[in-house]
Amino acid sequence: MNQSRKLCQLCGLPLTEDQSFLSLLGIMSTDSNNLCEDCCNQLVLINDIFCPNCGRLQATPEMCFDCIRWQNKGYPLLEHRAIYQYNDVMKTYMQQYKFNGDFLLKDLFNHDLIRLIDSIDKDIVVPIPVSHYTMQTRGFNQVSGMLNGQTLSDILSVTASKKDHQSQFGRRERMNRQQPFALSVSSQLVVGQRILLVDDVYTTGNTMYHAANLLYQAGAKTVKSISLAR
Amino acid sequence: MEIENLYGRQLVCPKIDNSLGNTRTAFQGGVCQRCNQKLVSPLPNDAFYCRACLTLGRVSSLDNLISLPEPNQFNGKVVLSWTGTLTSQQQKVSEDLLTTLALQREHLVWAVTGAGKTEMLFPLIYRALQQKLRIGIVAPRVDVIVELSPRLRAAFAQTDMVTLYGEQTDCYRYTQLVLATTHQLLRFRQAFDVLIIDEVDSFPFAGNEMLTHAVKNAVKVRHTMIYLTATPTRELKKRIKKGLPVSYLPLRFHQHLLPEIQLARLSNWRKKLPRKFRKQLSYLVETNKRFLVFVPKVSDLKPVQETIRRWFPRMHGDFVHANDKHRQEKVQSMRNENLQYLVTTTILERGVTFPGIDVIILGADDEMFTENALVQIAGRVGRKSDCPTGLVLAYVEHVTLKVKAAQRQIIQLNHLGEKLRESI
Repeated sequence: MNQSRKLCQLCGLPLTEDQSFLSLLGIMSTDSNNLCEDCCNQLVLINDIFCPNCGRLQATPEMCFDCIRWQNKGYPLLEHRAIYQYNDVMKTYMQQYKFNGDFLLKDLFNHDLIRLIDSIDKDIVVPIPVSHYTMQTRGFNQVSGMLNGQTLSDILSVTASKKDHQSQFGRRERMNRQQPFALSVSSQLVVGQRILLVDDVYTTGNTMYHAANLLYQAGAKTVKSISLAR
Repeated sequence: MEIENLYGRQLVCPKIDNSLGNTRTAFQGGVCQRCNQKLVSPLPNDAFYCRACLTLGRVSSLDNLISLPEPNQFNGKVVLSWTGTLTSQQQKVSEDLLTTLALQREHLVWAVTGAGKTEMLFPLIYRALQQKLRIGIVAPRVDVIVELSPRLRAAFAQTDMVTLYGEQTDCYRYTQLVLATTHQLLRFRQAFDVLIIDEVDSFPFAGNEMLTHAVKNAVKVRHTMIYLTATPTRELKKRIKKGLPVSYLPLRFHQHLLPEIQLARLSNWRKKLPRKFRKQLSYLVETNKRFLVFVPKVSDLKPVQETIRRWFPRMHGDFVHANDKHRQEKVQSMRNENLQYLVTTTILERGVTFPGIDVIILGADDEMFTENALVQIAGRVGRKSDCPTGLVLAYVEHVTLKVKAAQRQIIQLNHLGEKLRESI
């Protein structure tokens, strides 16, 4: 078998070689040439009807129940946007990139994320941090990894050194967790800033609202957020 | 972690965690100490990780490898609950294997498809269990391991064993008998006194440096190694010439000869499956025969199966490939006779038994089907003594030397089998 053949970075199947004439000449390179057609087709873009505040794909354009709950709790809303629905193929990606630590997969959605970031008004872009323990075991922050080429302000840190990951918790446990973040710089750098938070996956919103809360307390002007998946 | 779960294992442990067991550094000169490959990819802060064995969980420069020596903590109590009998030819091979065990050597069993290789192993396994030896039975293909597992559980009903493969449910426990894919051996270190490698000539094991290292690393310094195959590679045949001890068995356990490969021409089948093929299938449908259709490529599976379904809408069938999420279930329902047919790639060429099936190969002249693959595919037919024959039909666009060689190989084996049968 031909060993040099390119494989799909997600499912490992060989990519079909219907290269276009232009890509053959090196004039045009396709963005998605690391994913096979099957995996690409399984990706669901959130671009039609979604909750205006958390970016969840849904049948109506009204604010979803979860967001109303955040509003009722008194949190300033985030206008969160996500690019893809968190479905099986996204789970596979997160499994391989984040949990199995295949750092090479960091660039798979880089263009998508940079494009979204560019379309939003902000002063600084802040990645959700990982704990010291995760840095010592995984070896990278999965959010910063995906944002290669974007200037980032690492102004948040994780206070708990515990090795718990959000994904190990059920919904209730997640909602009841205490503020997991602290400001790692002087709050003067935050005052009056329009901040864009970036995470890999938005599930309950808990992570984002905790981070936003901290930044507002430090004097941020606005805090918005995005994620790769929702 | 239970300390015994480290016996004979090599597991990945972050440097930051306290660990039981003996610790080794995970990389030396950029070479991964688990898989012995030099294929690292960078992480931030000058760290790096190995991409060669990534599927078994990442090894990075932030990790250590931990292990404990294998102490053979077994009681030697064993019951052979298998009640069958070996044919005299099988008996002979199984005696060769007992000699091999006594001498702690390497040995190759070259036995045709359906010779009953697994049963011939039982006396060897029984004795090794009695001697408190730790035994690994591995194969490159997960389907082979999945099919072996219940047969061994039945034969050694009181012996605890684990079955290890990629998407498994069975969690690791310290057991005397271990069934696993060859990849899983990367998680063992000097564990096995006896290692049996089934289908040793098959992908991805044959010629794979990483898996060859895994095997060497997983056995103890003094060990017995048994290779099983129906279709040895050229390299294995060379090793036989250089003195690798070998037992031959050219006759199936039910004493019938191998089904020969029939050839038929079929052009342009990818464009449109010809009437000739439909006619052949309707013959199988009328006689209520279950069958496998082998195709060269994953991309052929769907169109072929869809056409068959359109032609015979009431017949239950499916298609399966290596990365199929429901691979095990589909193979199982074919085994349970819930499916009438499966369209498959070469993944089902070996190690699987579906009683009473016929086999059709589409595009048998395609490069994906090697000579040995064709012989193995033909070997799926007539494996049970109550149904010892069947159809093996290879459709080709052009008759190639390779297809002819496969036909000839079976004829030659049958020639030897006939001689053996007459000599009894």
